[in-house]
Amino acid sequence: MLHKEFVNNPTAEELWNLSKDSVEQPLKAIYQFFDTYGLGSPHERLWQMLKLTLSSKEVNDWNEVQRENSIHFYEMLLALIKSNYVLFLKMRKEL
Amino acid sequence: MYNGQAERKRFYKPHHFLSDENGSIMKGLEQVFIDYHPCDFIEDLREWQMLAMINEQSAYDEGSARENVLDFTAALMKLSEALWLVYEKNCRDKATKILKHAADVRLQLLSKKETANPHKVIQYFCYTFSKRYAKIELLDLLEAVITYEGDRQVYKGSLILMYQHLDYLVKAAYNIHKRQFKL
Repeated sequence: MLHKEFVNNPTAEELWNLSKDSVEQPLKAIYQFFDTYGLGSPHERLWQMLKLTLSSKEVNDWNEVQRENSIHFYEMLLALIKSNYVLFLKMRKEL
Repeated sequence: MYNGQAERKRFYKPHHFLSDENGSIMKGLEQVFIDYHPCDFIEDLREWQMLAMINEQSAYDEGSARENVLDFTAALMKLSEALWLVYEKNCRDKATKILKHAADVRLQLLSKKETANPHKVIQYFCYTFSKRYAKIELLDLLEAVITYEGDRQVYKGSLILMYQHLDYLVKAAYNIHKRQFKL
């Protein structure tokens, strides 16, 4: 829980990153995402992105913590996509 | 005079299917899948991949080496599913009788096309990686996991056992491939 305080009290800058539409209809983004990509494609794309990152020369100079952080971020993002997919399936059923 | 004690036999190890050079491949695969569910290979290899990427004291200092091992492990994961299918197809009745988990096996990685023709996956693996490369890469991977000392939780108690089973899968793949194409 590295950024608990930020999540509980989002800064004005963080809120500015959200469009009016995404504040008013947050579920729309989930629909749009999975209608476009499904689940398999984001999984594959994200893996390719991680693979390209880790295979790059720049990463040769990264230390263990930096490498671990990027893998951790990938794993958390993947888990987030999967949970959103479950939400998407549930929402679609309710329609 | 017999003193009731079995004669001590020195420098002897009981027979093990993994070291049986001339044993039946299907029998060996049966033992592999008795010991491990096909999903176990995928789960462990995913973790091994990540540990190899993180560990600074490994054979994966260079970006190209990391790319190679990522592709190799991805192919090895698919290979484990393909070999399961080949074993299951060849010994269907036996598989369901011996392996309690046979009915629960849900393949995660193979496409419909690959599931219908697992020999193509084996063929791809054997054409892409030489037997020598596969052996060395698997050992490098094992070394990276053993020497990892970071924050990720790793149970190292069964690493060698997993390595032996993966090594057997690789051996079985080349054997099946060789027989199929009578190389």
